[in-house]
Amino acid sequence: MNFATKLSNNKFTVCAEVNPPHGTNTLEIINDLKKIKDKVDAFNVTDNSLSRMTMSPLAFSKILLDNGLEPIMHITCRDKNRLAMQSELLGAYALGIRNLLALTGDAISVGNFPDAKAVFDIDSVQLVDLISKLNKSFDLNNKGLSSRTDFLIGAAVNPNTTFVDGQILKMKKKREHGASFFQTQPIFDVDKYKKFINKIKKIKQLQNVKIICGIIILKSVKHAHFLNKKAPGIKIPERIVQDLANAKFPEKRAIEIASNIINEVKPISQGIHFANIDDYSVLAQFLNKL
Amino acid sequence: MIVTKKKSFEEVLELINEYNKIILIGCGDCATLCKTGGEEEVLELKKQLEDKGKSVVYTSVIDTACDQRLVKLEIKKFPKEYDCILSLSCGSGAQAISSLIGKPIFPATDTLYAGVTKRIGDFKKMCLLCGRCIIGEYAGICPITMCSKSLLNGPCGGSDNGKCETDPDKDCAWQLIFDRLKEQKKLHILDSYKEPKEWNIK
Ligand code: SF4
Ligand code: SF4
Repeated sequence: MNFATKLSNNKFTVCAEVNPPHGTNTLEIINDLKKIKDKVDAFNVTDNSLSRMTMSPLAFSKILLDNGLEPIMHITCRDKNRLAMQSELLGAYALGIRNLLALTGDAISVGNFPDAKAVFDIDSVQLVDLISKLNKSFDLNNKGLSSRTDFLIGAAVNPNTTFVDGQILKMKKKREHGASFFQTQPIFDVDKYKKFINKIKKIKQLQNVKIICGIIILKSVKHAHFLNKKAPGIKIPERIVQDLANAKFPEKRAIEIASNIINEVKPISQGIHFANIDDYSVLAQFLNKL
Repeated sequence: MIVTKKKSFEEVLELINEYNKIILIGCGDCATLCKTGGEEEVLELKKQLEDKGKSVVYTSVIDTACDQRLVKLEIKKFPKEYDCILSLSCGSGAQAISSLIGKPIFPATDTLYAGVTKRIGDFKKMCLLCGRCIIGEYAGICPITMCSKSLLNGPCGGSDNGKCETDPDKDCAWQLIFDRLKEQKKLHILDSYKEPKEWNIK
């Protein structure tokens, strides 16, 4: 069963993120992904994540397909204008890519090309709308296409922020314009996540929206500090950092922490999404026990 | 006001390296307020250039360097013999001159944005001159300039405690927009979908 069918049948889904290589050889990464292939429904292929340059997500998604792996291709507003977006999307569909995650993208300044010109010609809501138009066989000017796309449109939402009302405002618009599932930023504060889910349950436009909860298996206290400092939108509470710091075997403890989070979010989510994966073998072991 | 910043003297020197007889033109408007191209800065640059053995053959501060009528009058006063012009105005002022005269012209400033003067020498970036102005829909706060990702339909997920994900010292424009509209009881303005921006209105 593919990712879209599983989602629409309300089956619990598992996604795992992968950064395309900073180079041309994909063999090693593909071998890594094959370790978890049977446990994962789809692979999120990032688009120059954290504004750090890697192989085109379109090319890499196609390579995944060729290897029997289902991609969710990320597309961000940071590096492309509306022309480039549309042509990229038509190409992606023609190559067999069916799932998208439409994102704003991290700011240029956090990455390794801080002098680059940020594009942000359209925003992520407008991007969702644009993809919906392509799905209806129109381009952004409402001019008919010779043949249409049929993408499953995903978008992002961040329950961790202090500005939840802003996230909900945007989520409603994304939903209204065609997003059918949402992936969240990695969750560490489960209570906050639960409150968020309760809040959106009460909103008419967000009924039946599918939420896939972000999960990170931490590696060390250092890793936690790094994410808190460098990754926008991720917040690891001090009690979890302390918990890791006090653990005799931090890696083992991190796995327990992730399992606990998953157990709590599972009943109120349509899936989980592993982000920032450091070691696919660790994830493979983890998934085998899940 | 157009906010400018002085180029380093080394960069200026490099730009005019091959020329000797130089005209310096400042601007009595924005560049004077920015302390990048007023009377004082023109004289200072003149001295620095002369110390390096260059000959400054003419200096002037045009009241408004981007007004070509004034530039035309000024050009008439230029000496017959000179090699190049150094402009201490913004890029627009420099081009007001270059479009009227065939001689080499170089900028002595970098042009940053349209901003607001808080105190002398203290400016705030307010406008990127994007064409159709849309701040009426955003509580008078420009999402193009003040939001680091120029978002029109709502904040990104990185907004935290009122600050922008790109810089903990920078306010999140969307939090400001939201709070102000809430205060005005006009939050519903944000509910409607905002179409992609027209960047190229004529
Ligand atoms: S929307 Fe912003 S950038 Fe555009 S003209 Fe208005 S203030 Fe300037
Ligand atoms: S944090 Fe606020 S100001 Fe900064 S990019 Fe996001 S929405 Fe824009």
